[in-house]
Amino acid sequence: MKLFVTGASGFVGTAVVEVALARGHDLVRLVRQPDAVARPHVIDVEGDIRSAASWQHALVGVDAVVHLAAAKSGDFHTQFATTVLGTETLLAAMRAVGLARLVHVSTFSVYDYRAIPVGGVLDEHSPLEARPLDRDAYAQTKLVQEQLVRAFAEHGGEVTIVRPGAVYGPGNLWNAGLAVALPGGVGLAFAPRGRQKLTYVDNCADAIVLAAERPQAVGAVLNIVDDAPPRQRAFARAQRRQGLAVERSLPVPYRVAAAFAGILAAANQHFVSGRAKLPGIVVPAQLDAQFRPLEYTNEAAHRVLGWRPRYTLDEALARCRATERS
Amino acid sequence: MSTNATRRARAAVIGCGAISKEHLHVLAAHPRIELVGVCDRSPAASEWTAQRYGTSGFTDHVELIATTKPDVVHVLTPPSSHRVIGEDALAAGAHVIIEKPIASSLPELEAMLALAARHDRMLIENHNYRFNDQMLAIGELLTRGSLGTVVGVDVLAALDIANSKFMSAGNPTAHLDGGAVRDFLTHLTYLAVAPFGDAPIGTVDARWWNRSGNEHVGMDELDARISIGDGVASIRFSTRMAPDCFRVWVRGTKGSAETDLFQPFLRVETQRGPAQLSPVIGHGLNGVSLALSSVRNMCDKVLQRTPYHGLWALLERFYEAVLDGTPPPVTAGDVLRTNALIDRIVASAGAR
Repeated sequence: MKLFVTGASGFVGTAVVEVALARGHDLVRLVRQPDAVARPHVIDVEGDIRSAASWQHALVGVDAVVHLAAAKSGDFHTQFATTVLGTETLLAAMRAVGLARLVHVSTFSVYDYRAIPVGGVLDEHSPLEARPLDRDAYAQTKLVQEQLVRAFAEHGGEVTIVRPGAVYGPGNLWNAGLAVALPGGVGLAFAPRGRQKLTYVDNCADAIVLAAERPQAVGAVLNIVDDAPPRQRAFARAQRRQGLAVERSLPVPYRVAAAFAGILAAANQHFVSGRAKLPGIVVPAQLDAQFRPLEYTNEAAHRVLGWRPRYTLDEALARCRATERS
Repeated sequence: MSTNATRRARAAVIGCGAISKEHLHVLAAHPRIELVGVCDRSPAASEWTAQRYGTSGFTDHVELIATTKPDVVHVLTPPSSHRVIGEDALAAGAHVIIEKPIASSLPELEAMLALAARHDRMLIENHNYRFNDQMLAIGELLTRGSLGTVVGVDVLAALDIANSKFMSAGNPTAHLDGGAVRDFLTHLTYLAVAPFGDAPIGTVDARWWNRSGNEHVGMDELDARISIGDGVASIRFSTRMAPDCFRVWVRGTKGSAETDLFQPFLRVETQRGPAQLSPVIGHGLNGVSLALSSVRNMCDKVLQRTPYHGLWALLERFYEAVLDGTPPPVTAGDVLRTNALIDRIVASAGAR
């Protein structure tokens, strides 16, 4: 297949490119800065996703678009400009050249975590966030982005929506359970017994490329987490087993953190009509999105894609350690 | 029949980018303003903004104006489109506020102001920082005569935009003479000239550089000196100085006042008490004021009262002018004087 990849130089995008090449695909990468050395089966197109004039021509002859480009930082309008306006431009360009097949890489952030009881299972049928303004800019803009993609699907687009959990890998070995990093290498870990919605970057990339390859994936929404995602403590222990540095953490039960956030939210509403902008970890909706103890399933990805995570947790962390050493 | 006190002005916003949030903050909550529509070329931006603020969304500004018949149009689009949209709004009978820079050239601005005059409508440029609390306090000191006659104004903006990833090809300042410097020059210029009142502008000596090496930024350092009346204004812009600041220092024949618009404080040096004790008293009072500023700034940060709060005050006054006939916060003369000086600064720097 010939795949057009946006966000190709990002953390997940880089892995997607490697997996796609290994599986024999030809690639067109939309990048801000092309690689200095050309690679076989890779064409780099320089451009800004918000300005189709420089890259729309490169969609001609492409079999599918893998859309990873999104902003992960900056204020709302900064993220809106890249994530939403970029997607709007991409979809218009696809319509203009008659290209229908799209693998859209979304996120677990679009779910309404408050709508799922503690200990419940989050899957593809879980409701999407009903009150986006309670969430951070990333979740808000990814929700709008998904709306655009679903509208594209309703008008003839052949779309697969892939929603990865927390993607980890070399250079991105964040401790998903850590809420606050304190001086001296110590942190507060909210919900230490909560399940971590982790997926190793190469496992995630496998799923994304399979989603482009499999005709049966058209119309599907697929959550991507690795098999048996670990709890926060188990993840920290697994990192230590591989000799990776992990911050020491003081556990704070989820219900304590949630009660504290609830009190602050009530005080914010009562005293200043909700105008106070507080850190996300003490905003109930944002706290829940990150730390609410839930169970996760990847059954749909297994079933629809025939996907199996290539690396176990220990194998993945060993690879991270090897990369760190090299 | 509605009276002036109960009549609500119909407001429309064209351009739903980052700055629209600050305008809409006022328009959506003000009891005397009815937000009748928003417009953006991007359907997603238009739809999101309309839904967020409970109004109608458009993707064509002509349709917005014809459909909603606004009393006031806010033009928040990239500078190259200001003239067309501004003139369409004026011709439809709306008052217009346009983000800086209001026009691509001085003749273009003059034509727009002439059209506004023909239609008896107000056309103003956003000079928001003039209405920040600290600048208003300095204005009061000047009005009371506490600083004497203004003989010097220094404006320094240090902002590390050259390394911003958004300063890439296609940034909206790329087509302007001076690039990033030109984009900020409006703010620097109106702040530098306002304390002098209507004193005549004399010589202008300006230089600019690209020190960062980022070709997409254009010029990122500026140093300009302008003689105004019997005094001198200096304007500096830098992307290399740390930390970021937006300092304004007004010096008069009787005293001086200094502020920072990003991390606000107000330091006033005038004679307080007996002449020999004045410096000691002044330092003590300014020390207390500085300490209180840190508390106030923290509260403002938590309550999201940003350095853009001057825009909120400007809009309050602009809508009072529209509804009650009070003088506008920024006059056509202010806009013309600011932009005529910018023209000369650009010409002086560009000639070197």
